[in-house]
Amino acid sequence: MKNLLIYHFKTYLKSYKLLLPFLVYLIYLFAAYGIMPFAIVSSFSESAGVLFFIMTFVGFSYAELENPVTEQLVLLRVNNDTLYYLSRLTVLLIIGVVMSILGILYPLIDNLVNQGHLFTRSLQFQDVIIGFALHCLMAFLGAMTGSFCHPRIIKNRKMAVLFLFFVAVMGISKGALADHFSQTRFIAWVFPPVFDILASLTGMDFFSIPVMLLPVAFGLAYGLVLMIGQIELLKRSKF
Amino acid sequence: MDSVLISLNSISKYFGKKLILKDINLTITKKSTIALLGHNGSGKSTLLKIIGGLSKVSSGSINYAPKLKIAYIPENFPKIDLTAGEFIKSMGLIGGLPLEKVSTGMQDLFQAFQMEDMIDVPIKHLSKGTIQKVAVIQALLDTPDILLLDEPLSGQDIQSQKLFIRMIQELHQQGVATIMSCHERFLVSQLAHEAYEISDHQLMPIDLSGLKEIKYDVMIFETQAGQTIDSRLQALIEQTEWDHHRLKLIVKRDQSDVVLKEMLKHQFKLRIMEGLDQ
Repeated sequence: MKNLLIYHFKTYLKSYKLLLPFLVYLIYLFAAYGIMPFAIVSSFSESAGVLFFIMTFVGFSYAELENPVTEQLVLLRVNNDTLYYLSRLTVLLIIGVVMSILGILYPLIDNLVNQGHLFTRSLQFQDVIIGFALHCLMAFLGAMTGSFCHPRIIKNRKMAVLFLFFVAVMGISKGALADHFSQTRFIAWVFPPVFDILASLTGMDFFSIPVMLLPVAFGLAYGLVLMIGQIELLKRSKF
Repeated sequence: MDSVLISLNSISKYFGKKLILKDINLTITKKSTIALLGHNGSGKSTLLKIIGGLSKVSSGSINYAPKLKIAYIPENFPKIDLTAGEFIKSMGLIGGLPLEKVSTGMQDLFQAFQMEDMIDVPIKHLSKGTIQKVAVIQALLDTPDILLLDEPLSGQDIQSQKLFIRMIQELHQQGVATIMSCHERFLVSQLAHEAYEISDHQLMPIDLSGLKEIKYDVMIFETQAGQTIDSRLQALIEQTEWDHHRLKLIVKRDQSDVVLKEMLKHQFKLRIMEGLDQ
């Protein structure tokens, strides 16, 4: 697994495809935390929502980068298809964790620079931990949604881009849509539960684990289904 | 009887509604050296991928001996960002070889294929022939049980072709089964003891004794911009390889005179002509 991860990382980093999303997220953080003070829960929620979109792009571009010939050669070396596809998704998860660290570390440092005046109240250890976990969950959901549109799962690339854009936008806006068109509630669960998780934090001054528990559990389950689903589909739709 | 490594039992393959292979039966043993012939698109590469477990069959079954090590040399290796050294090292380590063995094996193979100076060059910046050498090196880094070769010599220079043929023959002596797809019949007699043509989606055995008697000539011409070979002449040529202002042809000896006369008539300038070693 270690050598597989090193190989995938080298391949991805040498393509420079991570640079753009990394810079975009950094610019977002710079702009978003530009004027203070902020409510901790809402600013972390917004940052996690942005990370979902960014990781959707990362997941998609990562899946696009996979070359079928080198994939075949590595599959023969590994002799375990599940391990191979799991290692590829693990790389995405690691990138997601790194981006989440960035998403939490930036306001932490900014807060220190501003003598603790960045937020409307003092930052607590629990805020950092739950905020980080929230970012990781959103990164996980985004990465799994983006990588699901693998060229072997959706062969028509134009359709894949449109489909992914639609799914990502619906993930975050399905609540607002349901307010206007209540019938959409019946199919809203199909889309990533980004809105459901972020909506559970609306208007809160402190993160509340009991309130977040159900949407977070659904988010984790949703991400895992996408993860297992794409591994199984890729194993079935071979070359 | 030799132990069976892989057996294909009445397998068929469709891409969508298009039939590619139908009711194929094939047994691969430790001593197998099989050549698969057929025109482009006949299903040779698909059959190789099926044998390697890289493509699912639509019907039929495949039995594999346990813990088989299969290596594969693809026809077109991609232009990737990794350097030749990085890729080969990764392949060795992923395959479970110890670092020391990977380093020594890499060094020996890069030296044998005269690629020592290109270890640190990104593969995307290498020439087509050199990229093909990387594809060969990754497969030969460890001794496999079965070596699958998809048009193995396409784009390689004569020296590398000879080296490669010698290596394959050595591997066969070590008990490595080789299954090769190719459309150059002159290769078959050097690399295979068993040959099949994929015709009408099925495997038709070819009598190798007839193929072994065929002699070939290699001709190298100097070319000018815009020169082409017409289809009538192309039909008499076994292999054509363009490289900038150089054209290499491999032709059956009994067709050599006709081809040479036509090429000269079309203003190609002959630079080298020799018999192809069998």
